[in-house]
Amino acid sequence: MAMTQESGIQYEPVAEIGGGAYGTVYKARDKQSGQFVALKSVRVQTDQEGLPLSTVREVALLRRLEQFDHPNIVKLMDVCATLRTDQETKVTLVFEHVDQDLKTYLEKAPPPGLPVSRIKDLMRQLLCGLSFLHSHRVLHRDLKPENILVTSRGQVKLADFGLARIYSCHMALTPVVVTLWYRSPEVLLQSTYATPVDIWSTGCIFAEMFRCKPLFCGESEVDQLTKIFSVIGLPSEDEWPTDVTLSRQNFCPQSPQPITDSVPEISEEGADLLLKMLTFDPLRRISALSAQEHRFFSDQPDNS
Amino acid sequence: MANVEIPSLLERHAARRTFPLLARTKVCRNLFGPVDHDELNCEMKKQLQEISERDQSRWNFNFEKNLPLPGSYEWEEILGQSVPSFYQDSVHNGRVRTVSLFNVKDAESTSECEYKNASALRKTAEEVQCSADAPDRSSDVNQENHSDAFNAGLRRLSNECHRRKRPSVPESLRINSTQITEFFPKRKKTIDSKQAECTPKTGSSIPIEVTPHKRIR
Repeated sequence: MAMTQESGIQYEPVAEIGGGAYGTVYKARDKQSGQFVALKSVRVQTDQEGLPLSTVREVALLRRLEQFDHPNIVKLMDVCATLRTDQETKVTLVFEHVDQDLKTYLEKAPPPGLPVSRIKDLMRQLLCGLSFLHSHRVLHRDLKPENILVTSRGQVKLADFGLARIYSCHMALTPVVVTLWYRSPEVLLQSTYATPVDIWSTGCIFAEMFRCKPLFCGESEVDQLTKIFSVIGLPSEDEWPTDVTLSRQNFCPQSPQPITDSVPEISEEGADLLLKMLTFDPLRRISALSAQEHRFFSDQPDNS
Repeated sequence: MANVEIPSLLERHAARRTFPLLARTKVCRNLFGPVDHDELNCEMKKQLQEISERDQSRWNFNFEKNLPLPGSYEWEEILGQSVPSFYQDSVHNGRVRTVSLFNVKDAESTSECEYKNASALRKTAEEVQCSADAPDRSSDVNQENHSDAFNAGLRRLSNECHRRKRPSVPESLRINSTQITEFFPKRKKTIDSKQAECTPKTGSSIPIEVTPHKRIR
């Protein structure tokens, strides 16, 4: 902006990307119920055939999931489509508004971090939402603290699943779907993947709840894998997926380190659950449903 | 033998290619009269308009112009920073418009949780590299990543989908036709006789459809 003013003719504004680094968001309060909603709009390219089928399917899926009114899934109140031009349709999603996400929630946690009882509660809800999605054959694929919403009453609500698909219409096979730090080894290795990817991400988030900072902060895929193996150890040759280009020889042999080195605050039960979530082999990784039944959640008096 | 087989195969392929158009095949009948596309288009636009109006009054918000209206919802425009990044319209950047490849049907979208093909993933390795090189440390960096990822996805898809779509259609049709005819021996008779007409001496070059029929008999 300053540049434009100084040089006058050298630059001219082409398009407004949004109000600065962040755009603005429309938020509203229902005067009758006091409920808050927020809009999220997505522009979709269209052609003679109209809205891409993938978008239609995705919206249909979101709406179908909505009917279950799951407590741990962010509420989608409405989907409004407006034709902008012949080539573009704006799809506006009306969501319930939640004040903060887990990222902010963890940042705001006072120094000793979250009490174990709170972590248990958050994890229980997270897994509950996740097993709901998985049982409806929906992968989140991009679980991270930013899209786990936490209401002022401490209710966890998963957001952003399926939406990535609407943004791009075709992110189906793009390996960029999961943010690097929460990406599972099979995604990093570009192998086949399914619901276990979300459990890996959940494991990373679980550890982060204790540490108040991310567990594996890789700078590239290989770096991310290196950081992972420095904790869980280099998997054996027969565990290494066969359908990948990146060979096991690229990594130096390492034995598993005690998880308590990385997450010192964790309890013995917590450590057991965490290791089951951070299992290299996706087929041997714990499922959302089994994780909910893990003894970490069994009602023993907490010392916090 | 070989020159008997080739024309019959070609014919079947040709028939298949015209099948979705429903125009040049003999079996095609216009059951509902001519369609006035302009009228239909008009009708659809009108309906969309009605839906939009309903949305607008339900939320007292003009979604087209992004303008709040007076009503039971008290709207306010707030800075993106003050809400979880999830609510951000992360795609609202101009670069998106330069890519227009949404015209392809996405075969994957219904099977979101199915296993993904690793080789398909590998094709995109270069793009991944460029978008993955910048890790997201904070939510604003993260947003950058989002749009990068988005565009990377788009760029790749232009090739991917076209490549995918084409071969998949005749493939499925072929499978279908074989299976269906197996269950309809009567209909197969006509195919059989037709086949006999155009290929007098079938011999061992019997089309796939015919073989099961003979086995049934």
